[in-house]
Amino acid sequence: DTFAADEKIYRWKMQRYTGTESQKIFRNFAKDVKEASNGRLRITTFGGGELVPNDQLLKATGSGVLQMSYGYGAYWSGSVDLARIESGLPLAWTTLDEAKDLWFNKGMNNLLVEAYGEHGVRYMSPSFGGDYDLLSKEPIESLDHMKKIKIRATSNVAVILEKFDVPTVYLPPEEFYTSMSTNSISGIIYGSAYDYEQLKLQETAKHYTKLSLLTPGFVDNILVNQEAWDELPKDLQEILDTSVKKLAEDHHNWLIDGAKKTLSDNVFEVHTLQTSDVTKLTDAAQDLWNEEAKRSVRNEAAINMIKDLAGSNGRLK
Amino acid sequence: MIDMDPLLVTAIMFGSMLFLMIIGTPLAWALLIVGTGSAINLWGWDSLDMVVISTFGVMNTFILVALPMFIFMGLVLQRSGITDDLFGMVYKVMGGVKGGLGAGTILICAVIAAMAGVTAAATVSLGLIALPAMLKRGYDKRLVTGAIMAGGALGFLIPPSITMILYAFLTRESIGKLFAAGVMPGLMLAAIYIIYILVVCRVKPSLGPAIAEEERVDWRGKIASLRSLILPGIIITTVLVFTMKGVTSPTEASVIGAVGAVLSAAVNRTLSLQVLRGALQETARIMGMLMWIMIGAVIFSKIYIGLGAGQIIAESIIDGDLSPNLVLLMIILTYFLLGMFLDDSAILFITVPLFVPIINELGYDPVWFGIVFILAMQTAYLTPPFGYNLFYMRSVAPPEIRTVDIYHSVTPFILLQMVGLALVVFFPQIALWLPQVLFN
Amino acid sequence: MTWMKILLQRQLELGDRFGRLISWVNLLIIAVLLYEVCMRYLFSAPTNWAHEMSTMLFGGYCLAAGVYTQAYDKHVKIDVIYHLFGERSRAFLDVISGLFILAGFAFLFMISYQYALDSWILSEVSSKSSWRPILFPIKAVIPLTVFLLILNQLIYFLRDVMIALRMIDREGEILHD
Ligand code: NA
Ligand code: NA
Repeated sequence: DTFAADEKIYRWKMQRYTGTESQKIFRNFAKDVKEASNGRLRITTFGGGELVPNDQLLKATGSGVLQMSYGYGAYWSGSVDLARIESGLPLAWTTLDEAKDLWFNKGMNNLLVEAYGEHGVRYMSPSFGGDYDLLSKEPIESLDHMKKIKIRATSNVAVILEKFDVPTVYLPPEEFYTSMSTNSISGIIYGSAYDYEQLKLQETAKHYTKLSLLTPGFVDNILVNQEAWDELPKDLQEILDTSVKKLAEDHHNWLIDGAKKTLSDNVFEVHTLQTSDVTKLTDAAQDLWNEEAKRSVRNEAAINMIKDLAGSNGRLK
Repeated sequence: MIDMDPLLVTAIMFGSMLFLMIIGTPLAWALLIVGTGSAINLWGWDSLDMVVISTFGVMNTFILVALPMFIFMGLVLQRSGITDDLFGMVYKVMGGVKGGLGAGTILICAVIAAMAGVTAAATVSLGLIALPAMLKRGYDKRLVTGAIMAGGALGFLIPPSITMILYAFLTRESIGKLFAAGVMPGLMLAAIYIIYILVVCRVKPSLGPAIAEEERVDWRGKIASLRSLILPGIIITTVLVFTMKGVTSPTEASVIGAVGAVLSAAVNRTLSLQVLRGALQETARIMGMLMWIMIGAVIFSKIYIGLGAGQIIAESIIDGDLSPNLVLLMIILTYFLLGMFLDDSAILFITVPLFVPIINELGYDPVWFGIVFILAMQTAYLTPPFGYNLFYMRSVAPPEIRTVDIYHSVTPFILLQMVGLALVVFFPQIALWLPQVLFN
Repeated sequence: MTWMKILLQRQLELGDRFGRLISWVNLLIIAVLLYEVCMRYLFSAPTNWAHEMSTMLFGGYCLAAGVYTQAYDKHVKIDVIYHLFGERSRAFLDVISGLFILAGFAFLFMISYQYALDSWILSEVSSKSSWRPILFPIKAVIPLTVFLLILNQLIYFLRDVMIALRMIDREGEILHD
């Protein structure tokens, strides 16, 4: 049978870091791939934490436990030099167009392909996220006010806030609801209004403050195990490439539409951080950029791209 | 990778587990062996990293820190004689009633359940505290072990509850509503257990004898004996208040409990280096056992989930084109069967993403279904061969309680849990009343 | 006394000493979290390291405690059917178990060794909090623990083979027929 090689069925496991809320998008992606490949490439998708803890997604994809993953670089910024920049440094980009420009014209994508290549995975595509703002129990419009409350934040943002003596703690998303409802923390920086509504946090806090720190507020990635990729015939590689791009697009639109709806439904009361504070944060952010640049030659190249971008858009003096 | 019928995979994995358990392989290693073996056979060598990733995952889970804390607390209270005084008190007050000490134990279980989010807390600490106290007073070993294991499982249902937090996170339901929905069914089950214990002891007094006529004390003596309630009462109140006021997270509250136990022992003038050292060492031995069982269970479960077998079994129910009530019945039956072999988080991950949309479509309330799920998982903690509470009990029970006794002792309580489950299924208001009052 | 008996006694002694030592880590965890609660609640100055530190202490402590449990032969068995067999048949079953267990440990040792080594080579740091501690030490606990588990298990395996061959009894004494 001369067609045997082409008829081979590839069965892949893919895990995302998000829960059931995004299940439909990933099921559709698997369906697209299966149909386009006539059933030769079949991807079973798993939700956050189902097979491996989310912070182990890169490790699992690199070693072949998973063939594919949808993850967030900040989870492994301790082992991939570029990951913290990739997932979003404060004020590195302020619009979707800027982010796309950085990735595909300035060369961020190539740097990421190189960085992830060292971990046995192929960097397929970024997946641009939505907003990244503060949810709090009391209305907050200034950094001084933030100093008086305890805020949950991940390390990128925490480092900047600590410069302004704003106390931060790290908690996993599973603990948000109980910590907020018992007042053990009174603010969270995690995502968009839509993310907060999904977690039913409107039952614990009403105030949503736009920080204007970063838009898109986070950038996810779609990774494939390099050996699994090399095994695929050319046509399946092309099919996967196309479907991955569509997945990233669908995921982004889903987040943006959801956030719009949550805000127009008035689930939260919206506030903005005062302009003088945004300026202070911008200055502090540049210190953070420079610290990141020192981590490796590759990081320095990436930060130069970001400075170049900000300069050409008039954001940098 | 080999393509295999999911039912065959299920049979092989569960079958080899049973085989190893029968030949006396320690449970933790049996889970590790079957998990590793299945991964190699079905996914190839590359997938072996799964085993170490899972191991590190369990080590790296903050909420589990509560486990050694609660165990240490239980041991310090026991070794310093505080809990023996407490049970002596319960015995004096309720001693005239046959089975009164058993009923008191269930109440204490409910209180510990309200302090801790994990079932191990109540099961292990009461296994250390209540078990010897009741055996000493002539209670039947099977009644006592069964009551403690069933009472310990209330830790799931009475908030806070780790399993509810995971369920809520996966389904995007409100944790607050789930917590509220668990309170009434939890109290109801506690009441059912108490009634059962009082009834069987009345029918057959040798199971839980009343105090001898001449040893009974008058009301003056009863009130005086309430003194032994003070120290444990202060610990429990502090932990609850700290958690509810947000001074500490539930996990941190377990540390407050541990410190409270040491301080109580000091106040009681029974704290010594020997007590402290003994409690620390026993905590380490128990945790060494629990930790590796958890690691083994995670490895086994994750690999089973990854094979997609559970998913296919669950999907076959959905595709069966059954009436809503029959679907519900099938779901509950599935939970019972899976519960015999898998741990609760595995069942959660396998079934909840599939079942909850169906439940919504059929018009059932997802918060109510969450409680049905938790009730089913409580049963899973008690059903052989794989039931966490059975292992917790085995690890703390004295040798004269044989494994057979432990397995036998749960039977009536599993039946009682089914009664409780049926009540919640037929009268959803038992679960839904409190959240409706609090949130609307 | 037979050499096996001496070996078994030494093993219990060393396992016991090891266990007593690590059992104090529990107090360290208590101290760390108590400090965090005080700093956060009383001084509104939460640390960025206490939660991760306590989790790491917990993970390393409980994993290594498995060796202590094993030295006391306290890992839970479902012995309902196992106990129906006689001494020698049980030893046979233990030999079969032992082979499986040693194979399982060997795999776990190999991959966890590589896992820790990778972390060392990458100088991997944690990404959870802004504390960013080195992860190698905690990951290295896995192969170290498994190594000790293997040593213990080898001794048990040898003992079980000798019991099955009717050379000694369970305590390591020479069997007199
Ligand atoms: Na509870
Ligand atoms: Na079970």
